[in-house]
Amino acid sequence: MNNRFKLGNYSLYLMLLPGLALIVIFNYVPMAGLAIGFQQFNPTKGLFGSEYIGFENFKYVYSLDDTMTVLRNTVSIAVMKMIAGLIVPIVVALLLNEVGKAYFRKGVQTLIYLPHFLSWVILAGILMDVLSPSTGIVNQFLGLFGIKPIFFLGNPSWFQPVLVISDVWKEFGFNTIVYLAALTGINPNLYEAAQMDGAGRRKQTWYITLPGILPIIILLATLSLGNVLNAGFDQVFNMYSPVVYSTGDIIDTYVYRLGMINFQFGVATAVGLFKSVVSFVLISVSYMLAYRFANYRIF
Amino acid sequence: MVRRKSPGRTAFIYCNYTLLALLSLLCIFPLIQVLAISFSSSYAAASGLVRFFPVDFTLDAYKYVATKPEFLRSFGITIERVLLGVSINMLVTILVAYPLSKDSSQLRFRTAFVWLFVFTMLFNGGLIPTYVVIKDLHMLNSIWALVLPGALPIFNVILLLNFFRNIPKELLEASFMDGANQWSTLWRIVVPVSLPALATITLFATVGHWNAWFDGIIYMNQPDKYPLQSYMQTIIVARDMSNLSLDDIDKLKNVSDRNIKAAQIFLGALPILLIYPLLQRFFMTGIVMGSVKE
Amino acid sequence: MSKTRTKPLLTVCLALTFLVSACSNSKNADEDNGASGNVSATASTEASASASASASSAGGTASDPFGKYDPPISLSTFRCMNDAETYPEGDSIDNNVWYRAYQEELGVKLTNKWTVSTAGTTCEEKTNLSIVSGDLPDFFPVNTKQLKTLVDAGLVEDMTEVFDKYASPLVKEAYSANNGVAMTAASFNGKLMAIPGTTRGLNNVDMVWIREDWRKKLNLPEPNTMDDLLNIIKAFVSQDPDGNGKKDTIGLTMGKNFYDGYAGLAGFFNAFHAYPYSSASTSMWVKDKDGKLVYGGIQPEMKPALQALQDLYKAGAIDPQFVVYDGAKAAEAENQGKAGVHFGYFWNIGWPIDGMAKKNNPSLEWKPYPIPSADGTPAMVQVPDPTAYSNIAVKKGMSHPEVVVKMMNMFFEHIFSENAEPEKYHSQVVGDKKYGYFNYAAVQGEHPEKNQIAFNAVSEAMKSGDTSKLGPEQKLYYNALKAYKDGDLTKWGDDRTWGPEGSFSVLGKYKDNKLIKINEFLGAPTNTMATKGSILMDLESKMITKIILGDPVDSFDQYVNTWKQSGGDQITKEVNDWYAQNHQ
Repeated sequence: MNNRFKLGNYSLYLMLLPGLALIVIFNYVPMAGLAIGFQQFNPTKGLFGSEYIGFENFKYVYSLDDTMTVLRNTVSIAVMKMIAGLIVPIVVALLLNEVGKAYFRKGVQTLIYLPHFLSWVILAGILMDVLSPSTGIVNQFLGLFGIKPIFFLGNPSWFQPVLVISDVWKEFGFNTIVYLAALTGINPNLYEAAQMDGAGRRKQTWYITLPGILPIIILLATLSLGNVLNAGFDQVFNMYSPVVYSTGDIIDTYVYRLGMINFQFGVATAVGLFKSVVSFVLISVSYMLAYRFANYRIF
Repeated sequence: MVRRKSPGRTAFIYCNYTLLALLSLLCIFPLIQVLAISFSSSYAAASGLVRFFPVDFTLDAYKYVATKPEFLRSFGITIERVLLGVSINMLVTILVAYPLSKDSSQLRFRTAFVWLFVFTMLFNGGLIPTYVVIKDLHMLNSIWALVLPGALPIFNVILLLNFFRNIPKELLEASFMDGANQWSTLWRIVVPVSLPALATITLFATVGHWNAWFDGIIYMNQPDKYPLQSYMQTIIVARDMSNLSLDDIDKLKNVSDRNIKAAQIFLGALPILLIYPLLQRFFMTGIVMGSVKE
Repeated sequence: MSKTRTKPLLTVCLALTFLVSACSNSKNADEDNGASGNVSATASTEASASASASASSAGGTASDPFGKYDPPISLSTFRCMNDAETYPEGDSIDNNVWYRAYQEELGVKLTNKWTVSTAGTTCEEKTNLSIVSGDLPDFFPVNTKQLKTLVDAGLVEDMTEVFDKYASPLVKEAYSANNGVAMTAASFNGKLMAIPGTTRGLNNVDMVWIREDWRKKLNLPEPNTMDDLLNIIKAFVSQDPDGNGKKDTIGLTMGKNFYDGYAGLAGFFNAFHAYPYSSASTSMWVKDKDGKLVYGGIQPEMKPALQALQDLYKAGAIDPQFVVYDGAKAAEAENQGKAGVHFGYFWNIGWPIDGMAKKNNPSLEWKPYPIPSADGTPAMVQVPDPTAYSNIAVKKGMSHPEVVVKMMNMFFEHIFSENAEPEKYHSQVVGDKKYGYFNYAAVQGEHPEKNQIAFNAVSEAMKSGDTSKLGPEQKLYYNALKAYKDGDLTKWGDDRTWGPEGSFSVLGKYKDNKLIKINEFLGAPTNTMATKGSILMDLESKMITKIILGDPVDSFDQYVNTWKQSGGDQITKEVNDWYAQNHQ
């Protein structure tokens, strides 16, 4: 049946109205502020009085010695986090799905989502203890195998893995929730049919469960591309030190330090805009690719 | 479901249980430590002596927190914010996600609309212009400043519209056949069959409102209007040690006691930790198909 | 004691003890009954009336420093408050003893546009937002950076004239102390663009805190030279000072912030006559032999100091984890009794050292020593920022700019003058609650040397046994010291602060021997500092960290070159221009 020209469909546009109004007021109107990225922003002159300087703010950041190192660190940390942050929750969701006892499943689900609610300030303090080369439990454990104490937070080659692992540890339980919700959407008839055909658990997982949550996986993977230049300011800021700048310094921490004395609104806005544009391009490209080649609309 | 278990299957099940139990332990450890510190003496806490069990067990920290009006007051504001904010979030999210879950034949310019929303997820004008807008709307110092600017979490919209799309077409068509319009179909059919997805999004919205602290500090004019996390932020933030007077030191002793911090962190996190177990009953399998069959 | 002999300076009293912080003047000592014997009968209006009379006779101007506005005026401000502040039942930052006094005595109805915590950077952010969005109240506290922005934009009133005309003699005297440094940062081209608030004075300097019981146990000499001190630090690692048979102690406690008031390194560098300091608000400038200002952190004296730090690190006397530790985390080892030397300010007894700790562990002893010298010349300690940490600016076009000066007069009058009512306006202990009333005041100041004056008075009384000259507050310290002498170990913290071996005795030595080096640059950040200063700060912290951890000390030379090329030379020029302008 074709509803296209029925009056009833105007209600669809009406439904969009409140949401549109909200984003126009609270997102699109303030976006005029992006102009700051092209200004020598003077707080007392404001958005309309400040002098326009074209791409000077961008050039300034680009010209700094450490920009390339910082950009490389950011992408490398963010990409590792994206990949690990995608795979681990899927695996855990699938493993939880295999658990028969409801109380155990619910218990685990609840416990693994706990670290999400502790801030990085607190977790960083705890990690410093746990990873301490002198008293940390991790190094004591490694000592049992004759491994000399490692100063994880002060060693440039260990710092990135520590960031990635601790980030996954903090967030995987929370991210698992989406996949668990997606699992509920799979048609139970499919499993019954598969059992009739004699498919084992592994085959059912492979041919029914995974394809069933594939759209959500693709969706979350695409959306996570928006974070390709967000390596996690709070986490890094609370854990890094000049010793590990070579691998641990990221765009956000770098810009923060650059603006310590006089907060450079122009530079900060320019960097933010750059990050937004990169994210936008990546997300658009993956959206196009999925549509062109799989005829699938991610959103 | 499975009647006979192969040896491989049994081994897998044992490994699975062990692995998941270990993961849980790993995840609960930081909270245990926070809890242990909160029950320890301030000396033991400041010396970093507490690991998994309280040292010099005492309830002092909780007694101190009980005397602090700020804690309970900000807690109340957070409850208000969450109740109001999540209701609005859910309403607007559902209203936006439903039309967007249709294809272009039913909602013209659908793609344009979607991108209009997605765009706001990636670009924002920054703190100053947003502040000026809120100020010009005379929303400073009111709960609306905490609730309205983030009333439409785009991530949740996208998630929900994907769930809505998976609702079997027959279900909707049956509803239209019965003469229902879009509005009643949304509320009578779509929403009831999407409970797992709605539970997920409710959780996200709740957690989002619960954790937000920056907007409270920026948009509220008095600390007694702070929601809990804005108040907590002033407690856990690192102090500038370069410029203190004797008077500051006196106060520092009160706010820096780690057992007191820990008690507030634990009490502050407790309610939100309990939300998920409550929502879990909506995560039941087979709801969608179940309603088709009937 | 006759009133006429009482200099205002001596009536200045103190804001401090770890238990109580009430304040009074020496006049009350006549009554010699401490807290209750106060001038409560004096109505506050009377106080201001008498004070205004004396002021007008002294100044001979028609402007009344305490004049009341009739009809009353309404004014607004905003406030940054410590979140640990407490208020009596029913009071708040919007309605308290000071705000009521403003209304009663000055006819000023004061409202707060907003109030925010001093924790983190929220105060600065919120202030910036108010400036940017053009939402300024009639008067408001700003730091020097914000003040500079406002002055450049012409958004604040010139206060030179009103200060001259309206400031009370007591206020003028306090502001002229220490050569008037408090005024310098608020002055632009000789014009006073804001009223400076409370200053840090000359008290924010490093001393070296040592576990005295360990030092004595190991028979080590007092740290009279830097070599002595370095030996103590090394011995505290190698000679098992805690006597548990394990090599589990740390020599020198350090944190990641090198210029913090606890576990920093400023004192260490000062011992070598090196003066590095750079922060978000200022940097430390000294005169070279030609009288030109140069940045302290790029001078050759840095190298031996860095070498000594590196040697300590190699000797295992520094915990490598200092790179990630903040003050509280660094303090853990000391609290556990695993570390015994750190550099820090006078308040380190109080935090992180617990002033009551000796009660549980009577053998424990910490002692602050002056910074020793690495050579024959006595070491000088640096004061990078003696200016006010907050200035009260008045919005351009405000009809009564003098009101801020009047409020400052009122603050001094009620807290530091002969007519002071400290129990009402400074602080009070009620039951187990302590209220620091003075913090409610929207305009605050103090005599920069008031703590030192208290120390001198108490020391004098301890020697002579004559307590008649002590104010009730000073009497409290005196009593605490006496109690400690008589064996009350809970008063250890007071002894380590006010006693003959206490931290103020060390500060006194610095001051008596003129061993304090004040920053030559006291202005707001210059233009290049504002744009490049952060990069230089970053370079410096990287350089120091890496050299301590083992980079060759000669890499310092390379750092100096980079520093100069990355804007340092330009900043040096600007700083010297500033100096020329302000020291004709």
